[in-house]
Amino acid sequence: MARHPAPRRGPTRALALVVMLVSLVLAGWAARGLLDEPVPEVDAFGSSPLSLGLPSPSATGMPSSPDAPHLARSLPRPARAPAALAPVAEGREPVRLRVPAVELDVELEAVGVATDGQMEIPDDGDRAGWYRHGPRPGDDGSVVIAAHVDTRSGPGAFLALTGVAEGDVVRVELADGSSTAYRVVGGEQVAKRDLPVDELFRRDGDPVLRLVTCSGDWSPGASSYTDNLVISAVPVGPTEATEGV
Amino acid sequence: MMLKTTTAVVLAGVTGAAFAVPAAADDHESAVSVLHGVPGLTVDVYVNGEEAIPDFAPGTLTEPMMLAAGRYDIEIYADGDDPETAEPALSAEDLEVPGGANLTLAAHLSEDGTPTLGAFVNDVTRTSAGEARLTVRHAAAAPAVDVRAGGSAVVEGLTNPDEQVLDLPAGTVTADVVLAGTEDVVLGPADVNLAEGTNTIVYAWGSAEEGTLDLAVQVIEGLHTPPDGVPSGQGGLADTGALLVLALAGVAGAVVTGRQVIRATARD
Repeated sequence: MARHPAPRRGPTRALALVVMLVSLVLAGWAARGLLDEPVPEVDAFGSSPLSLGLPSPSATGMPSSPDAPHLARSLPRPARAPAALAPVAEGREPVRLRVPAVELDVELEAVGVATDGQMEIPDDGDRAGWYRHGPRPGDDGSVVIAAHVDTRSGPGAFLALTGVAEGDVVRVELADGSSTAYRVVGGEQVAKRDLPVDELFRRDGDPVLRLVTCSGDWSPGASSYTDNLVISAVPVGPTEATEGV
Repeated sequence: MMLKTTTAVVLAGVTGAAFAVPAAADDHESAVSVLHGVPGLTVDVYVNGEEAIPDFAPGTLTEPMMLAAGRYDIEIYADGDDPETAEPALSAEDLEVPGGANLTLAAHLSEDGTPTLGAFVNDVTRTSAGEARLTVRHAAAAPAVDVRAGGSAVVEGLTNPDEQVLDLPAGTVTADVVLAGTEDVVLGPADVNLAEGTNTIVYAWGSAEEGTLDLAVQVIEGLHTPPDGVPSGQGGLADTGALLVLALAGVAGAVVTGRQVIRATARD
């Protein structure tokens, strides 16, 4: 009687194999889901998306008087200024960003350029970085504030940008206690390789605020998302600024 | 005036790099700024016989003028002197202005204290993202100097009328000027804002002997380069937490059942 329980072994092993394969498929599918499209897609909206740009930067430099035929008569009389060392100005750095419509409220750090040539982003997913080499709120040009859509440990502050809509009020507080209000006019998801960095980081022309984060698919090989999400906002007057906050 | 000195200024050495000029749009003209670095003498500057910069005081700098490429006669008279009758304090004939360059014409003292007229070519090639360019020019009646930034010498043994150009991380540096190889501070210390994407040109001018040494600063903006991109995600989104649980459960299931299979196989 003490024979091998052979008839029972086959089905057990087959069942275990099937369960194992199902488990592997499940794990693979879930892992694929983890890697694919973790960030909600955002359709472009608004009338002033990044690729269209805003009116071109104003011309700079001295007039060259090309129509004056004689050199001596075309000589401009240049303006002049003392060549003394200028004091270093402080106080107008942006320190806080709020978008009440999506309950976004983050502290800002002044950031520059990382060693790889890309914009520095605060490691802390709850903070955003203001590109300190570019314009400050109130200046001409494009004020750039960026933050992580996620960190390795979870969502980042700018995941909220995926819910921003045209007309939302954005408020940037400065170190001197003043604040500048903006109204969202457009949003666009751009492939990173096509990101128009000259336009995004322009230092003159009409004032605009650009909020930037990542979007698209997660590329494990490159350890980065394929796209950037760029929200554009323009300054609003003092009366308009009191609405919606 | 008794200061008459004629300096032939030949603008050789305008490199090809100087032609990539954001401010000077094309090859037919150049941006020319003028710096007055001779202490104690207010002047009128004439270009091709026409008064271009009246009442020009020491320590001042003009905005850039766009001058067509060509040859220019520059004459500098003591303020109020009549060019018809007076001798110029300084002059340069047939000064050649190339096209597509950015120049600074500087009236300054030579090392022995003689007023002179010199032209510097400003490096307006683009700076790397995050960097600023610092140009240091010795335009003073003073011996060789070192320039220290943040306590360490960044320029050593600079003599009149030479310059040195460095690209540095943008930011504010505390700089001073010492006699070369010594700790004898002759200028500064001063906080210098090296703004990103600028060429910040610092001139030492005046006379050490007469106690008129000073700094003059010229800033050329618009040389910046944007960052390459915005890497704003690390791939750990938590709204995929459920997927993470499923993936872990799947792996665990595979491990448990896999062991079952192995054990059953081993019993065979």
